[in-house]
Amino acid sequence: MPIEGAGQVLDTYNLLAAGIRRALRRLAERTAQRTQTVAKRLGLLVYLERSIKGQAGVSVQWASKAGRKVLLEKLVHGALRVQQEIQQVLLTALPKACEPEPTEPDFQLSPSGIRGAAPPQ
Amino acid sequence: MGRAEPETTPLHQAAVKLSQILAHDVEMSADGKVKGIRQVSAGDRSGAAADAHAAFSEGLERQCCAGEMIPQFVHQNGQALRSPVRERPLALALELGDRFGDVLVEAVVERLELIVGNLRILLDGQLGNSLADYPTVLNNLAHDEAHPQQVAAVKDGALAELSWGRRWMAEDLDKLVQLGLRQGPRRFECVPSFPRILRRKTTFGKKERAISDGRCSA
Repeated sequence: MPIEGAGQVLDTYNLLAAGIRRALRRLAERTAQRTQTVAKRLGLLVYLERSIKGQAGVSVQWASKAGRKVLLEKLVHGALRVQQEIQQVLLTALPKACEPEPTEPDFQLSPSGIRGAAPPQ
Repeated sequence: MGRAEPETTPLHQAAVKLSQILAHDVEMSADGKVKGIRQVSAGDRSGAAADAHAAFSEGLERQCCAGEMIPQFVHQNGQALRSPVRERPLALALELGDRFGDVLVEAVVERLELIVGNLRILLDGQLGNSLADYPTVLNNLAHDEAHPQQVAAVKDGALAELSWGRRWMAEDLDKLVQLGLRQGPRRFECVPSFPRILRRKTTFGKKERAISDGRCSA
């Protein structure tokens, strides 16, 4: 079946930033707060900008591998931070009567990083 | 008592999607440090797009009130893509077809030019940050070759050329007539780019010989 429409190619940096931005929006909806408020409280206000890589985002030394790694680490840190907040919101929002036994969420933070979807083979 | 159904709220879905992106794209060491970006194909990414349910206006990122051009899937022949349904949500994630002949073409961008007015904003950031290496997916590409470029004739230009050519031809014939009457019967040089002139010259040569032989008057 032919594909109709247009697809946008996102690299890892923009993909992570878009994921964080979307998670912040959903978090704001869940807590009935403004997205800017939630992002400012978590220190993730920069992810609400249009692009993480432009002049409105983070200044990155693209020429060096270490410079790009700094941005990646910042993105991963932001993603873990927002995941941690989501985890807290989900755990605190669970009503006592509907909690027969603790359920293991699909995503979980671990000391070594992220545990969630299986990495590609 | 069985386990409760996993929560499928938008917030939970966003968290799961974020986990999938991290697990797929980011390579981390055992102690939790970021090692780099995992070099895998985007087609192996599991799950839906990070913002698959974005509205149409949200999907088209805007800056300075100008729509941004984004890499698009193209068919065998280049064509402008337009959604048949207005304001139809479009997926933002890369979708790779799984058909025979699908080819991933990676081309190096040369002589990059930025146009004033944000009409061509393929680069989201700064020059030199390796963002211009967008792959373009061509699905169902026959023989893995692009079609040759077809240039249509320009009517106005053709008419102008024809008018100029007729005027030049008339002037040249006048010169030939004068030259032929002055130098007598001879074979004129032909103009390679104007075979019609050559034919008329040949006719003129016969007439000229008739004139010189006294069988015809000028």
